[in-house]
Amino acid sequence: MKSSAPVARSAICGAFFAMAGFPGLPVAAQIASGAGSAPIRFESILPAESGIRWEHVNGMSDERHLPETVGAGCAFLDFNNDGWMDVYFVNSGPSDFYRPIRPIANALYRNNRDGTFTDVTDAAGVRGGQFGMGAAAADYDADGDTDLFVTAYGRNLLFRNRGDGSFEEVAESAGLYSEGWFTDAVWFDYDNDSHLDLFVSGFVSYSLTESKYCGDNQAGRRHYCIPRSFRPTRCLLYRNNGDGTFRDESESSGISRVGSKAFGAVATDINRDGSLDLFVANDTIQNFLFVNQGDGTFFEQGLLLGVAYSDAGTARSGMGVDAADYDGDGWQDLFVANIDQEMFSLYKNLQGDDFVDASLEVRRETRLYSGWGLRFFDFDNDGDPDLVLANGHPDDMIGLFKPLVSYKQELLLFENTGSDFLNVSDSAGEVFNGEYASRGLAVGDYDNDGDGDVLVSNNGAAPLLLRNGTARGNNWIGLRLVATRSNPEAYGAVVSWSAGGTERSRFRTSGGSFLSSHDPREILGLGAASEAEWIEVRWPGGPVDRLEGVAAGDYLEIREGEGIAD
Amino acid sequence: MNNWRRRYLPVLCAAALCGFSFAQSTADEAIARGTRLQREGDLQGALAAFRDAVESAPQRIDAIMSLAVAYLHIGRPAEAIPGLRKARESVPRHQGVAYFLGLAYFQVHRYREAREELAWVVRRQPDNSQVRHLHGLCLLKLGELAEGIQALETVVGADPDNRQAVCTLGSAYIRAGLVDRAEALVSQRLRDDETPEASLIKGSLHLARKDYQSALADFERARIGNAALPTLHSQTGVALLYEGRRVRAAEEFRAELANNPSDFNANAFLGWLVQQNGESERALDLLQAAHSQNEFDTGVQYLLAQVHSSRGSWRESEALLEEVVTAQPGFIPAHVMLARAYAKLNRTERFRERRAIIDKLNAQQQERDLQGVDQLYDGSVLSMPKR
Repeated sequence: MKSSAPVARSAICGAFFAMAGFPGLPVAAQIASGAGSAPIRFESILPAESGIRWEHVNGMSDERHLPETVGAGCAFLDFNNDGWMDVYFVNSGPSDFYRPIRPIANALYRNNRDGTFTDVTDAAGVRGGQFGMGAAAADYDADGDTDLFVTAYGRNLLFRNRGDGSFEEVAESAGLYSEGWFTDAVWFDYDNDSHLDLFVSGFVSYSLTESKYCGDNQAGRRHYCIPRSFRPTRCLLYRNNGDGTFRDESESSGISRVGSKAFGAVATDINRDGSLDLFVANDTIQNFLFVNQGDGTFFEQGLLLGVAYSDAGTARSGMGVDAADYDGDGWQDLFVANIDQEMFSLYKNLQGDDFVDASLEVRRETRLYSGWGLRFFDFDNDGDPDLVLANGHPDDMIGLFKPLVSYKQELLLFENTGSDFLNVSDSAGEVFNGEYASRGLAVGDYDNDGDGDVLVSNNGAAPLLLRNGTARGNNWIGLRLVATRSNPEAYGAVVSWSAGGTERSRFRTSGGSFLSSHDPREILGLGAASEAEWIEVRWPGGPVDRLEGVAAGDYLEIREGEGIAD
Repeated sequence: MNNWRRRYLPVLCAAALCGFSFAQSTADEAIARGTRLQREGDLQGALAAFRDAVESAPQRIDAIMSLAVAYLHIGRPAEAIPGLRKARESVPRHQGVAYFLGLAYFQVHRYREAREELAWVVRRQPDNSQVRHLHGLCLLKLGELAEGIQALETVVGADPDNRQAVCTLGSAYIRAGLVDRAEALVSQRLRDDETPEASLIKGSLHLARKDYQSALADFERARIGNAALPTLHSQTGVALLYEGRRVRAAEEFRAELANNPSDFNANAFLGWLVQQNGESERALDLLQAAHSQNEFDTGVQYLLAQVHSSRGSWRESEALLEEVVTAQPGFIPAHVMLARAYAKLNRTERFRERRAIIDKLNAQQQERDLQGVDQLYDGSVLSMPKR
C-alpha cells in the first residue's frame, strides 16, 4: 500500500478552494444556503478550458459495421495517486473491417489540479491499438495503484500500473488473453478471497465475414443491424490467483453457460448474503441476474426474479445498468436502460425475492430514448441517489423511418424524490438541451469540490465534461476506503452515516453504467448538516470501522481496521 | 342508433321482403298501428303498439316478431331475444324468426348462437346475400376467418357492386394477413371510389402495410366524408400509436368508444395505453370490454394478463396466459409472463418446465433471426400475438 498522503493533500486542497473561492471551481458544497429548490447546474467545460482535445473516431463506414456505433467508454481514475481524478477515453482502432487513415488511440489525461488536464497517453503507454470498447479501472494486484482493463472488438488489454506514471500491457501473461467482441468489464471479488476477479461482457459473434446487409436496397442505404441478426457469444469470468495472474472460470462458474449479447454490467449483493451478484444487460435477449451461490458458482435467475424481460414478457435492448438502494429500504435496486419504445426500468428489490418495475415516471420519460451510460449518484448531496443518463440511438439514420426518434439525444437527469424519480433535465443546465450520440458515462469529482461531476463519451465526437455547480447548500464528506484485508477496492463494503438525525447507507457496488469506470471515492451527502454524527464502514470481510462527529467538507481516508488514516 | 339504422335497416327490409306471413287476429289493429308509427319514425310509439299486440295475443308469431324487430330497431336487442326464442320454438321452420334471432344474438355479441341461427337460414336461402353477409360477419367475429371470407366472397361474387360487402371482405382479408388479396379487391372494386367507406378500407390496407402516414391520409379523407364510420377512429388511433403519437392515438380511441362503446380495437389499444400510464383499474375495464366481445382473441388475453400481473392477480393472469400459449405456442412473451406467474404462485416445477420451453423457443427464434434480412433497430411499439 502507498502512503495516504495524497488523500490528505486533496482534503487540504478542497478546503483551500472552499475558503478561497478558487476561480473557476465551484464552492457551492460549502455554502450553507437554502437547500432543496435552488438551481441544479451542470456546465459543460469546453476543451479550451479543460485541455481535453481528444475526440472519438467511430470509423463509420458505408457498410455500417456494428462495432462502429457501440463505442466507446470512459473512466475517472487516479492513476498517479495524487488524489485528483484523471480521465481515460477509449477509441476505435484497426480491425478486420477498419483501417484508420491516420493513427488513432485511446487517451489518458492527467488532472492538473486546477480544472485542466494534460494528455499523458504516450508517456503512460496506454494508447491501446484495438477497436476499443470499454475501460474498467481497479487495483487488481493490490499494489496500491490503479490498473486498467480495456475491452475491445479484437483483443482485450490489461494495463498494469507500474506506479511511476506508466503502464505495461500484461493481458496475455496475466491469463486474460481473449479475442472476440467484448464490451463492459467489472472488477469484483466474487469468491470473497480478497482478490479482485474480473467479469467481462461478451457481445455478439461478429467479424467481417459475419457482417450482414441491413437496410434499404432501393435507396442504397445500409443501416446498422440490430443484434438479433448475430449469434450470441459468451461472457467471461476470471478468478484472480493473487499473484498477478488469473484463471478462466467462465465455464465452471456457470457464467458462460448461457449465450450472451451483453453490454452493461454491475456487481452488487441483491440478496444480502455477503456475496456479490451480477446484473448484466443484454441487447435483444433477456438480461442476466447471476446470483452468487457462495461456492464459486452463479445461478442465472433473471426470469425468476423479474428482471430478465419487460413486464410484457419481451426481451429488450438492454444497454446500461446500475444498482443502488434508491428508496433507502436496505436492498439493492437495479436500473436498466433500453432502446426507444422499450422504456427504461427501475427495478425495486423486494427483499431479494423478487423485483418490480417501479417507476412510472422513468418509463414515461424515457420512451423515446436509447440509454447507454448511466449512474446513480447524489448530485445535490442531499443524501439519496439521483440518476444521470447518456443517450443516443445506435442507428444514425433512425430519423428516416422513425420521425419522433433522433440519433443524437439529450442527456437526462432524474432527481430522487424518495419513492420515485423526477425528470429535472430541463432545469439542469444548457448542456441538457444539447443532443449527443452518447455512449459511456462516468461520475467523479474531478475538481475535488465535494460533488459528483460527469464525464460522457460520445460516439464519433468529442466527450463532454460536466462540472457540477448545483448550489443547494448541502454539505458532504468524501471517503477513500483503503482495504487492508478486504479486496483492494472494498467492493461489497457498506458505508452508513447519520447527519442531521437522518441515517443513510450505501452499498459499494462495482461497475455500473456502460463501458465506463467511476471515481472510486464515496461522497456522502449530509444535506444541511455541518457534520456527520457518525460514519460506519462495514468492510466486505465483516469488520466495522466507526467514526464519530466527522466535520463536513473534506475527503478522508479510512483504512480498514484503523479508522481515519490521517 | 343512426349507426344501427344505417347498418341493419337494409337487412331488416330485405328480411321483410322474404315473404314472412303474419296471421290475422284480434291483434291486427295494434300491429297495423305499430307498423304505421314505425313508418312515420315514431319508434317508441311503434314499440308500445307491438307490445299491446303481444299482450292481446301472446301466441301470435307476427306480433312477437314485430315487437322483436321494434326492439332491434331502437337498439335494444337483448330485449328482443326472449320473444324471438319463444317464436323460434313455436315455429321452428320459420326462416324469418331464425334470421332475426341470429341478428339479435349478433348485436349482443353472442356470436356462437348467432352463427348457428344464421347458418340455418343460409342453408335454406343460399342466395340471400344479406343473410350470408351477416353470417360472414359473424364468422369473422368468432375468428373463423377462412369460413367468413368464403361467405363474403360468395356475397361479393354474386353482387360485385355491394360496396358494404366488398369493404367487409377487404377488412377480412387484411385481418387474415391476405394483404395482397385485399389490395387486388380494392384495386378492382374501389380504385376510383372516393366514398368514405372506400377511403377507410384503403387506409386499412396502408395500415396493414405499416405505411402509417398513407393510412392516416386515407383515414382523414374518410373522416371528411363521414366521421362516424365504424372503426374509423380506432384505426386512426392504431396508425397514430405506431407512429408514436400516443396522446393523439388515445384521443382517437376515446372518440371511437364515444360512438361505438363496443369497438374491439379501441377498447384493446386504449386499455393497453392506459395500463402504460399506470391506470390499471381503467385498463382492466377496457380490456375486459374487449375480452367480452371476443374471448378468444389472444392479443387481448395477453394484454389482460399483463394488467392482472401488474395488480398481483397471478391466478387470473395464469389462466389467461395458459390459453394464449395454447393458441399461440410460438409467442415467447406469453411464455415468459406465464413463467413469472408460476414463480409468483410457487409452482416451482411448472416454472422450470416453462423456462425450458422459453429457452428452446429463444434458441429457435435466434436461428430464424440469423436467416432474416434487413433487421434494423426497430424498437417495436407493441408486441402482440398473431390474432
